[in-house]
Amino acid sequence: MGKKGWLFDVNKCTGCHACEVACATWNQTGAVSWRTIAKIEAGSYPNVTTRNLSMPCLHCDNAPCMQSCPVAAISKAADGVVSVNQATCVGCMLCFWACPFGVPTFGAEGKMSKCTYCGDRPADLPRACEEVCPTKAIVSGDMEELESLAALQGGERVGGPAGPALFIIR
Amino acid sequence: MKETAGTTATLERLRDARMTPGICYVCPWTCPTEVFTRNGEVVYVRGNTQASTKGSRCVKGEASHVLAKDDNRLKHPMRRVGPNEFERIGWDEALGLIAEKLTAIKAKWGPEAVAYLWHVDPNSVFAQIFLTECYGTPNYYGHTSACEQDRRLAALTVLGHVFPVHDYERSKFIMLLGINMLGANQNLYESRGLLAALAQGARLVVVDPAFTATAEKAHEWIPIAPGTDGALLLAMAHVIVQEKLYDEAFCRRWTHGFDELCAHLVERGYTPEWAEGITDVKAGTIRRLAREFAAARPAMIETFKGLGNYSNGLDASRMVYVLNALTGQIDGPGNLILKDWAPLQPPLSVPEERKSKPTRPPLHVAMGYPLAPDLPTQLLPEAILKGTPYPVKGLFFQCTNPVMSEPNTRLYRQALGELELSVAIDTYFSETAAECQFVLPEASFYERAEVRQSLAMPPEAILCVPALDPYHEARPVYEIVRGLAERMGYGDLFRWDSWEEWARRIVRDLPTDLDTMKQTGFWSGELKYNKFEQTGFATPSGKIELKSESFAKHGYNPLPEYRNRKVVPDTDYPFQLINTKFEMHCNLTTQSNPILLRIRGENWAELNTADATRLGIKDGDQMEIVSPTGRVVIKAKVRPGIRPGVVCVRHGHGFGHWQGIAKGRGTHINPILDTNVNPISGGIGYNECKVRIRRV
Amino acid sequence: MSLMSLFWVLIPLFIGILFMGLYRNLLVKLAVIFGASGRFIPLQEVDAAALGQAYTEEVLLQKRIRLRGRLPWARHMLISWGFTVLFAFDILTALFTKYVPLEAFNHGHAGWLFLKFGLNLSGMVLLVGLLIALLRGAAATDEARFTDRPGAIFLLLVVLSGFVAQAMHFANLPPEPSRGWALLGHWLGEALRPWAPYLGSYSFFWMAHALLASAFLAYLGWSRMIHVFAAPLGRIFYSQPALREAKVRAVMEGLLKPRAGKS
Repeated sequence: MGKKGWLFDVNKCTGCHACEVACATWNQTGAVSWRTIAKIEAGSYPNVTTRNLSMPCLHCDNAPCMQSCPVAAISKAADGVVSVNQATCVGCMLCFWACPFGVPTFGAEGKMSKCTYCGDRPADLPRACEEVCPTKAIVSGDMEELESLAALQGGERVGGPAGPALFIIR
Repeated sequence: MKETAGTTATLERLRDARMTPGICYVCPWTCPTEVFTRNGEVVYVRGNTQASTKGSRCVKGEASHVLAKDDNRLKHPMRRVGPNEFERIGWDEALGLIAEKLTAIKAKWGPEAVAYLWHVDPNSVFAQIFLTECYGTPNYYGHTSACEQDRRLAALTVLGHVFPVHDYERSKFIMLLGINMLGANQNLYESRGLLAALAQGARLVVVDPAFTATAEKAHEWIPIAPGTDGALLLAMAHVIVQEKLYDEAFCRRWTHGFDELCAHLVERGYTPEWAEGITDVKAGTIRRLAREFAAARPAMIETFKGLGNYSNGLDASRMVYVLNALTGQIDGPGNLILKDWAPLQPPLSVPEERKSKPTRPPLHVAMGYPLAPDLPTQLLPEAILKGTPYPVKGLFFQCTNPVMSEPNTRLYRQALGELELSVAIDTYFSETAAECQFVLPEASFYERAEVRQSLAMPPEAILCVPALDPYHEARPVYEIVRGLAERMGYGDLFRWDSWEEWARRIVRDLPTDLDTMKQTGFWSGELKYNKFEQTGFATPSGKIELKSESFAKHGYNPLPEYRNRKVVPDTDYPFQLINTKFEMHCNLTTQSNPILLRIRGENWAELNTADATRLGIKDGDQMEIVSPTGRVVIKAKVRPGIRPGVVCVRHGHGFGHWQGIAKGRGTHINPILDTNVNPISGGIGYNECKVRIRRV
Repeated sequence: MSLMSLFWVLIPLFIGILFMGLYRNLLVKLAVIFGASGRFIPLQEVDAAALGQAYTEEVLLQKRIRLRGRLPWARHMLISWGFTVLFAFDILTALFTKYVPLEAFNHGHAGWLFLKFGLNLSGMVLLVGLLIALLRGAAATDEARFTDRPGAIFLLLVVLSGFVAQAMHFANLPPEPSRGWALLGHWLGEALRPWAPYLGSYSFFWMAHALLASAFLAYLGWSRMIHVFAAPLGRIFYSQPALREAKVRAVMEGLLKPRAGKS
């Protein structure tokens, strides 16, 4: 089974937040958001650039969240998806600090929840975020497929010791 | 894009839900949707993947499922018994009283004394038929004067089409002025087309004093001086004419006034050098843009609301369409599309002998704005308070909130108090509803049916099927109007046992049937290009009017010219105010939404980094903005992406005590805006505003 | 090896296992997260008000659990406060009876009675909490997400053995009404008094209790029970906006940095 991952095109993202809300609606998280969205403006007038980024869980190869959990509540499945066992989680939040991307969120109950890669959707359906994105900036799939897609468009795998399953086109 | 046959079935199964087609009507782009419900609750919504929108949605629509069970919604009809005091009444009583007052007003003042205004217009066709044909008032209006009045009149005048849409995907050169479709505007299916065009190597130029979300994706951002786009466009036309870059055959065959326009541009000296002094865009740049645009095929120049925010916006908007015409870039692939409409019929018809005919002209004509495509709403308070051009005694507001969104809202409050009948029909309690005598709860798009035109490129009709049972006592407009009609002698015309009856009448001329549409949610016809080759243009001359005969007829200059905007910064008020909105918010329905308020709970005003440093303002500080009209305090956002000397306020927040979790959040910026009405179009010049700023 | 020497080997062993658990499952992880990546914030950026609020709301008042429901919150408050106060009184008892040369802390005197009162009251609170948790847990389904049945049973054994040890101590002493301040320990002692000669020595029960208690501490370092340290720490860190913002911003800027040669 191929490892799952993401391809994200920074040039297409407009920072509109539709993905964030689609995810919240599909996963019924209410007002809790499982995505981090940022708009970073740089340069000085009139030479201004902006980059937009929208990030779910990156289901890292060496997930630091998993390694930092004192009660081993986080595990990585054969398809690469990292998930948290709510029964075991004690809400200590160490995974948030360990995650280089600040992905874990903690709802009112205090338990950790995060992007599940839309685990309840069959593999051939788009993820909820991917489906709604008006500019098709988000693509999900097997890492090999995404690698070729990324290469075609001048993208690359994001680096770092955590090994996030993310290709990015800048 | 991943799609499998039976995806809807899969989603239904996953959520243990039932899917009904719907129409999202948070904002006027009316994207068709698929609504998944289970046990009377909305569990998931997505865009209709088969319709022209191809499933795309925006953040507002995605969050809108909150609407379906939002406790802050209006639940019962109410009647005002005192300032800020309302009592709940039954529908019978409410409709009876309103009918009584309508009858009384007609007897005493004539039916023209009643007007109907909407911002979003679900099923308002029922109100239109009832009021304009049964009751006899010509005054059925929307909200365009606060929106894109200038652009609309420009398109009607030049191209004979009220709402050109855009074939971005096939375009090679796109120039956008005063339009931010990847940001504030968010007509999503077109956004995707624009991005696709860019991916295929199209060139995008964005002209805007602020570095908007669309400018982010552009190859070139032209930070033009506010309100001067007309000069830029005239100069571009000058270049095209001087260097003979126009499509001569097209212009000779399909335009009216070509020679006059060419002479006019030269006589007036609308050169790039002249424009440079006004726009702060280098003459060389203007020349280059004109040549690039003229050489690219296909190409497109477009605008929306931005230019009309100034008193000179009408002619600037006309020039947008003139430029497209000069190079023959009309209605072809990659151009502005003069879309065909789906052949929809009215839901019911009124026999001639039962019709009431108005004796007075419509308000906008009587006000002296015969060409205005919609009511100049800034002049409405005067009609109420002074009876000029004739008395207005009754007003209906459907999902529109002028007490919040117009300049000089004080005047609006005062005027509403003088009416004999005021009715607000809405899903939420607005500032305007707070001033009305009757407040009627409208059903949301999850609980009502509707058939309407889609705004996609091909002729397309979309259907909304009620997904949920009625929310408390809220009713769709067709039921509200039926209630009035029944009490005023027209009940036999407004008769149906189910919404399907009138829906079938609406779609009877479509080459499909209602039952099929209840499965698919839409009907789509063939997208045809260059339709004018068969039909011509819907203008007095049958051609594209570079020189407007209708303008000439009413004594206006038939050729577009440049005038400076009226309000210009000075020593006391050194900043130019411009305004825009957030893509997360529209109208009232988003202000009560915890999801959207978490993302964007407050508004701000944007200021250039150098200006902010000079004034000692840091990002996030509170700052005071003062105009000759008023004063507001708002959060500052300091950024390099805005012209110095300009402050951009994001409007749409600062709703008051009537809006649940929105209460006290953000700043209502309208108190600093003054009345400025375009003398031809009646559009509101929101940006005719000079201000001074200081940190508080 | 005598039972006594076994006892004195096991107790330090269990405590050692506790510290090993805290080290491996908590300290190492914290050090890696914060130390190596330099994500600590300077002292002046600490938001004391937020820290105080987080400490009060989350650690003392356990807001997360209250938001879930009144009953889980009541249970957890009983257990966690019962345990904490009991632990504190244990230490106080050890210190005061051994090292403070005041007559008040001699056996039977006012200070001693106060300590017994504290031990027993907190122990009873803990006992009630545990019983509700275990009885409720037997019926609950979704609640399984939030319980630690083995840990609760273990702790119940510790508490019960403590009360039995205390009761056996009193049962082997002459009756004394003022010992009523020792609440359940006293009542159980009086109930067991007739059987005292047959039940074995008090010291056996005391050693059993001490072993169970130490074993529980060892268990704590290697199970979900470690949340008693990890959760308050985590909540306090999370209360610091400077930490949160700095973290996310650094990530974003790293990811969004355009590559050299591309505008």
